[in-house]
Amino acid sequence: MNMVDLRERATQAATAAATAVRIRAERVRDTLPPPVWRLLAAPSLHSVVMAAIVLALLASWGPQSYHGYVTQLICVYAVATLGLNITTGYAGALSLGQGAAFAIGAYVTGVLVSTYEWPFWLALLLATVAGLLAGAATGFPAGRLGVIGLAMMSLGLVLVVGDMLIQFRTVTGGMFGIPSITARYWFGQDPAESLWVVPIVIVVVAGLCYWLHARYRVSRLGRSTVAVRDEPIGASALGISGYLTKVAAFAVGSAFAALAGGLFSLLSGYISPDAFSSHLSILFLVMVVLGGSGSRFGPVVGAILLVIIPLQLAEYPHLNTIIYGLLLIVLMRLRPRGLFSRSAAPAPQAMRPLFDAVAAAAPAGSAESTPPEPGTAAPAGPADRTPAEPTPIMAASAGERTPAENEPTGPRPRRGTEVLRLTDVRRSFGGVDALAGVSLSLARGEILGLIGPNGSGKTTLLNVVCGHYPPTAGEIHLGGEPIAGRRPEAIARLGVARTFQTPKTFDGMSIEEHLALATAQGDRDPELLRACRAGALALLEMGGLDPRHPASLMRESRVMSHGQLRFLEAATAISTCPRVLLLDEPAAGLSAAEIEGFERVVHDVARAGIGVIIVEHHLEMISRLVDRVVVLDLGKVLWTGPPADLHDAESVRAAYMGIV
Amino acid sequence: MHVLQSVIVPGLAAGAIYGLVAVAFATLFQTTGVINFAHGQLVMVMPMSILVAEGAGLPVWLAYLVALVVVLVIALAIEWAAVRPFMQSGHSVSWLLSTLGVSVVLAEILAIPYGGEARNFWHGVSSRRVEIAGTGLAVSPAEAAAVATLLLVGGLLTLFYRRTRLGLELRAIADDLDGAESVGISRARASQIAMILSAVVAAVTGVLVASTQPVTPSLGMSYTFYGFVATAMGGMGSISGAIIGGLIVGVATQAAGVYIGGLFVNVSVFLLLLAVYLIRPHGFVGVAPVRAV
Amino acid sequence: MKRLTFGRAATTDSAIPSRFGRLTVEGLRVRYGGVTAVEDLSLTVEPGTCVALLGANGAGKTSTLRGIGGLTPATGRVYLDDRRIDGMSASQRARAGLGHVLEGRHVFKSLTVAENLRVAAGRAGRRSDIDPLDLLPELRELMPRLAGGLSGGQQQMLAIARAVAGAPRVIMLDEPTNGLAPKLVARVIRILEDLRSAGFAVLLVEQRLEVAQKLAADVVVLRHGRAAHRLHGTDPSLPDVLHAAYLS
Repeated sequence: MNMVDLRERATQAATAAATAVRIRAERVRDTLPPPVWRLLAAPSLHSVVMAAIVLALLASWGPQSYHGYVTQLICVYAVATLGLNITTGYAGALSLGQGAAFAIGAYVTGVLVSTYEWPFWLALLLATVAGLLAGAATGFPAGRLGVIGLAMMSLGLVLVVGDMLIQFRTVTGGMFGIPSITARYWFGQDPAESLWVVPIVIVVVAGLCYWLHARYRVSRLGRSTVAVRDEPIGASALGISGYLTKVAAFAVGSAFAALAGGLFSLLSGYISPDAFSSHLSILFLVMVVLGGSGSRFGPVVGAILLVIIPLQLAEYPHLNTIIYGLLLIVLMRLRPRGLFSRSAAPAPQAMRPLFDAVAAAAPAGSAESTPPEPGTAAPAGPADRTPAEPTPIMAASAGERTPAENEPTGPRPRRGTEVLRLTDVRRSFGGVDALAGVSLSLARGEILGLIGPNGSGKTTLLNVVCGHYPPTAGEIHLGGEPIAGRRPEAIARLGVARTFQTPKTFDGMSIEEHLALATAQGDRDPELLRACRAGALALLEMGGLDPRHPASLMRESRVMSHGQLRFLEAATAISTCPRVLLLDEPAAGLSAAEIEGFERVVHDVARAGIGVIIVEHHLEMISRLVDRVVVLDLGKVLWTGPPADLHDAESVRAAYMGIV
Repeated sequence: MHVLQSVIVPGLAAGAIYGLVAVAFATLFQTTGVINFAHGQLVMVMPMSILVAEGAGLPVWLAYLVALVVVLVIALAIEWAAVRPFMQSGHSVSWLLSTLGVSVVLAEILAIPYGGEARNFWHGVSSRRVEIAGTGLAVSPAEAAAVATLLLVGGLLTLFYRRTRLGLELRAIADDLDGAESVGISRARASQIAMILSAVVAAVTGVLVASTQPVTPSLGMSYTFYGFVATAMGGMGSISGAIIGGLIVGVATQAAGVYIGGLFVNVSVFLLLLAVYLIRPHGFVGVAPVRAV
Repeated sequence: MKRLTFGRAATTDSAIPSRFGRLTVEGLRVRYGGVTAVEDLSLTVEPGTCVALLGANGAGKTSTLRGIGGLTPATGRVYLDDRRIDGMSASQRARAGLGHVLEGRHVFKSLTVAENLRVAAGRAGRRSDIDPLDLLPELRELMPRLAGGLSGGQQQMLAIARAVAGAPRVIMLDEPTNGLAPKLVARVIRILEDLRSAGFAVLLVEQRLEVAQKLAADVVVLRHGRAAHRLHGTDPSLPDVLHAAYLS
């Protein structure tokens, strides 16, 4: 047995164990009715509970005690770590400058409160704004920088802030720092007397930040941010621009850090530049990475662990820092996703439009066609569905088809206006002409099959239409509007949806979240919307993704099989209700029954008015499904015509199938 | 003349050191796609090890040898643990974090012998300024050595890549990882060789740094940053770009220090980096990559 | 350097020089990204013969070669003659004599044609008796040019020459006719014939049927990662078998 076998077995065993744990956890979750589950998972509840626990601990130890100080320090660091999780965990932008933002917040608060005797809450507010601006300034060149560049810029920020603190010593007190930072309620007043003011502020703010951090994740901005992190190309295909999400993440993350810094200055009463070395940035990073970047709870766990453990090692100061460093190295090798690696968030409203669309389609009173309320259906296990039967969705929409229209090759009433036109499109890479002058036109409701041998330029054509690179010559018009050379997100927003050869789904997000990202752009014909949503739901069912089972909707797409991801990607693309749908080899790896189901959905949405281009090698599927075939060879259109004529065309046989 | 003496000469000397860091970055990056965040610390390992060895009683020449061995051993350990697993993987967050971890560990270890205090290094090149006859300029041997070393190292490396078989293999694996493996070029060996080259440059750089200023462990991070800015200016993976970038950063920071103030050096470097990324992200010598979808 | 005589009939078994070897694959299984791309594949390629793997996209052809070559993790046994190579890294396998022309060519674009050949020859386990330029004389005038500036067809020729320069005992080629005009396809077929006549064991992955037919190779048809049919390239039922495999 060689190394590869051993590794394979070890991986299998680990996966089996993890799956077993996950199934147990899901079973527990399933015993609770979903509304209860969602309540238990609600971040507001967590915030309140955690705050209550911390306050109880502080009450028993005393806020001025050593343990009390440590507890408050954990809360403060947790705020900074939550912020860094937004930047590095959600957006995937490595920031080495969290310590600098922390320092900015600490000094702004310290100076205002101590030197100018501002009320603490106003100073904290200003500190947060200062952090926001610093983060925006660092993140603003993000468009041009890669991950490395951003990381270096943030490192530069640390060095610069360190220098500035010493430079402007009249304000910052230079190496001596700022003493007597005490809390006042209003300008000119004496410092508040109660020892509980600062602790309560810290706990309340920490709880609030936990809630905000979770809310960020489920907001549209947060979801887009995670999508861009997981799969930037897939995100651009849904119309999401990566640049803004990263700037926002940097800004918000730094704002959190600055707020934490302000709390820190109130907590310790005295700050000096020693407290804010580049080590602090690294400490926050290790907290995020260890706890699990991208998860909701991970940053808190990371903060707890990395405050408590070093305190145990306080006698060996060097050992502390060495452990941080070693932790980073080891984590990256063995468990880069950290302790808590679940990063999918709930999106309970995402499925409603889909179920509504199907309910609207079914004839009233038909028992099998009334979709149950999401969340109350009995879980439909895989055994309940045999692949050959049409799913309830398709049966429902089949009810309205006339017998003649039941055939996939039947007439499609909504054909007509041209929706996509390519005129002499060329694209070359170095010396190679991938596209050597392609012209074609696609009408509303038409299904076009694009075939050709490997290397003929099919995928390049799709990439050029979608905007991943501009054509070197030629024009592309979408509904009469020129789109050649525009960015992929802009073209997607104009109504072009696409699937890829390798599904570009988002690993860290659930089915619900994928659908939440896919919103229809602009106003669309309600019939079309309904058809798209019904089609998306049908695809999910076909893929074995159990859309009626809330637990399966919440699973991360990371654990899904390749075939399931294909269906998820297609469902997401169709639910954007596009004008043009581009499918790149959708049948690869699917069984005959699955292909048939796929064809039915494509047929339905085309009938409702979407123009479809499907790139495929599966000639039988092509001949069943498409209205017209275009054959590409060596970057040119070799032949075009109805599928029935395809097999007779000599030149096509020779070029494509190479049949002697 | 004043400008020449107070800005250009020290600026070029400092820039030569940044250039050496940048050249080492370029060498490793070209083959592995990894920028070694711990390089600045590796630079400081050399003089620190010499000081420790010499303090333990070894003659200076032996201390140099021992220190070189230490640097190489540490470098190979870094390569094995933090570079090779992520070689050309495209997951820059992973190798950034792991080499960052190494830099933290190294910086801490370096602080152990002398408690992080600055130490003077007398075993390098002299930094006493000498008048050059007829020009009115005073240049120290250390300054001259720095620039000479940069050019020599750059020349040797370029020769290595262009003329030797090993250099050809490294260029091949940098060009196409799968293609290189399919003709028998081992990625582990290539990565190790690139790291060894980078480490030797680090050792030389360390002696030069120690010759011109007192040695503290915290210098490491600054050199990493400045060296990176030089690399970014010159274009990642380009040796000639690294040389030019380093010299520019050196002169610019020296000018900032002289005309604005010592604490604005970092600011000027930061702004330089910003300028590079806004104007010409792939560096002045580098070539813009075409993205494949 | 021994000069190559083109178009010679395949030598018989006993006359095969020891520089060529046999490739044996048993129970190959390739998994990546949660998908089993190849399942339980076994095949043998004798020196002086050609085996062609045909199948639709996604059937597992490229995964098979990458698994044998060591570029993608795989389980199963791979032998070069009697020597087991499946425990080795990809570069070790290449040095042991497994030549691999990758899909998409993967020539070294920033190196010249001459340097491409030189670097492969430098890593060879032994001196090559066959001069790649004899096999592909059209490369002679391209020697000083950068590989990145060549046309697709020229790059394909270079990729084949580069593999030969490494003095392999066995050669695997992944879709060498991909994206080539018909004239170049014919040229590649002739080169493959020459390789086989010279004595190499040739394992070929192709999408085009004609290549397998013209080479009269042994054909293994892959479907969903498994060997579904084995027949000869000249078998008249081959087109239908392939058609059926493609379409289901």
